[in-house]
Amino acid sequence: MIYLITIQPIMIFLLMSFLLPYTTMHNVVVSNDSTSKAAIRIVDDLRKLEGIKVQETSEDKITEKLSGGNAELGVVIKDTYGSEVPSVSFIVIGESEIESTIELCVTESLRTWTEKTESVVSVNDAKKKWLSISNSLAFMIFKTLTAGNLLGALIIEERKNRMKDRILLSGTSKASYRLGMSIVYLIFMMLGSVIYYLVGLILNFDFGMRNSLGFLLMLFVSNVLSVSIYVFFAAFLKKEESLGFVGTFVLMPMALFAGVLFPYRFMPKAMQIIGACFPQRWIGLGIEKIQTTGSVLSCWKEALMVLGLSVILFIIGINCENSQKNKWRIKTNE
Amino acid sequence: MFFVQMWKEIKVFFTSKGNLLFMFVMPLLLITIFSFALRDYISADYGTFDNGCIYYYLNTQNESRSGEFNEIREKMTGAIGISFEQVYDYEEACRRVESSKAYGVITIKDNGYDYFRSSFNEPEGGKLARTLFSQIADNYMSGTTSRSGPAINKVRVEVNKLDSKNYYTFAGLAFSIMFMGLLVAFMVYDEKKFGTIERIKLGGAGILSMVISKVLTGVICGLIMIVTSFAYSRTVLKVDWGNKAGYIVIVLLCLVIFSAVFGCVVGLWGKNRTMCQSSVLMFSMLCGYLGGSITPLYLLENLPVLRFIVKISPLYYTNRAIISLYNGIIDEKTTYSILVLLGLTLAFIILGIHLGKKVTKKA
Repeated sequence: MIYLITIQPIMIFLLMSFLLPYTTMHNVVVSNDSTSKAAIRIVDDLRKLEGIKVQETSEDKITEKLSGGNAELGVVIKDTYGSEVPSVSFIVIGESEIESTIELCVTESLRTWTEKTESVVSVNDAKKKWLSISNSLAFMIFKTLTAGNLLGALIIEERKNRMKDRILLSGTSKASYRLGMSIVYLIFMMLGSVIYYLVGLILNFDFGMRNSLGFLLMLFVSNVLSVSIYVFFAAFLKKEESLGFVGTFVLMPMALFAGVLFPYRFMPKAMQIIGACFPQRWIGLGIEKIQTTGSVLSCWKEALMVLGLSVILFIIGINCENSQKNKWRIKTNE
Repeated sequence: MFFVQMWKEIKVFFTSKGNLLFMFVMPLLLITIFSFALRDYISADYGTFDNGCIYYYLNTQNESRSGEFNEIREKMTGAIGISFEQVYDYEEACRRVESSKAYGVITIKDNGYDYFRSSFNEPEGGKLARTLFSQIADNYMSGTTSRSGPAINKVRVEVNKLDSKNYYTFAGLAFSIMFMGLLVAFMVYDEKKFGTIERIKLGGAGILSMVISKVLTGVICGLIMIVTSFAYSRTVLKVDWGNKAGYIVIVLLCLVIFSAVFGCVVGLWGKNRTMCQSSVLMFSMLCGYLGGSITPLYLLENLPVLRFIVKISPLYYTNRAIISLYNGIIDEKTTYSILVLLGLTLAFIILGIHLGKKVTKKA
């Protein structure tokens, strides 16, 4: 249990942050055969553009890099005989979103390649962060939701060995018994979320938020949903092993459309529309809203939707468990 | 005897609905989902400057400064298509920037510019626009803006641009081939489980011919996967495998052999079906993640530490070689890929012989 709520999620979090690095940074390859001041200035200016990653290579490798998807645009700088200004060529395959940006940058560098003076633009500070928390977010939401598996297994096991009946004999009401059990599991899951959040903070992950507590809040909301999902499914399943199918065949396909393996914003519209129907996406959208607006309160609608669904699933789960149990009992007696 | 055994394996394999489903549906499903889902991302159509806007706030009476700003503004609007909007309430503009309504606020002063950006959620387009603005503004300040540089030549290369359809036709197929090892692992494990190895020995056939027949069945399955994917990608996705299609098939065939041999070794080693299943699945998933079958390879290669780690995955070499071959280039990547796959196959064959001896002894 301790391994499942602490070490395993952290390992997945760190692994997925590296393995799903869907950045929107543009890659440019530069081949510079010139030693002129202007050429040095061009490369220097290109490197200073944030959001552009410059890789230096030889001219013959440019086409290979472009065709392999490693870069969008190639810049070839060569000395021009009898001139202190080098010749510059762009190599592109198809269209590039940043071609005109690079063109403007290079044109400006060629016009003013003398020694640089102090910058006239002063920019306010922004803290330097490490990897973005968004890389692994959808995967971690999926992991958080499947964490309720343990609760589901316990519910089925207690029902099978009649432990629940014995507890109810002591005068505890059905609802308070199930609620109490769920709250205990919820607290453990929330503890796991706090650890995940703290690791993100300690390792200086970029939450993209003014107040990263909003992120933790949405994780807690997903913990509540996880408990409800498994209370719901445990009511209908007879074997603990069947709970594995909930993760694989119910939550995983939903997560796929909610952006677990591919970035949601780049998915085709049809997939986005399907994904928008699933609670994983509501949680993701809530976090994105906190990121874009800077306000924790902006996620209220998504949080309410998830909590509402949780309440519905929980109530159905408790009620159906009783009716299913009666059916099974009748069958057993027959 | 071997051919009888081989024929039996093929019959058993092809009568299983699960195997057929796996063989025909899995590669097509992976190719379709991945190529569809990452269509915009792989074409690098990020919409970097979509709805991009920068606010500006005039805090000077100096006309030459505001004239200079207007020139920069026109240049940037013309080149990258972002808009500039004048604001009169600076505080409100800053709040709107932090709510992602604009990239930043430029305050035009007598002695330069102040640029306000969000300290926590500045978008990529905003970063690019800000640094470009700083560069142009600095150039204006250096006072040498009258020099006109030479024109930039533009060369459009006529090669296939990597898009999600052609990338995932090969990456998805290679990923499915890795999973194919699971079928071979089950075939070998079942012989152990049901005690048929003893009967095979009694029949005069060695364990080696049994293992080879299973590996060959796996290879046939892999070949059918390649042919199915080829037909599907050509007809439905309109992916042209290029003039080096033969070489692509050779690289894929090496992967098929490796996957079948790996599955066979797992089947010989596994103590139960679950162990075989989880070992092949874990190995295939790891290879898929690191080898660029899920996240595009170029993204992984561009990351500082990961670009070294990815080299442990055989799929990395396969995908890299296929991308080159797809573009009509036969280079050292193809050789590396074949060598790595055959080398690993050889290593697993040696391991398999060792395990096979153990199993025979037990039998």
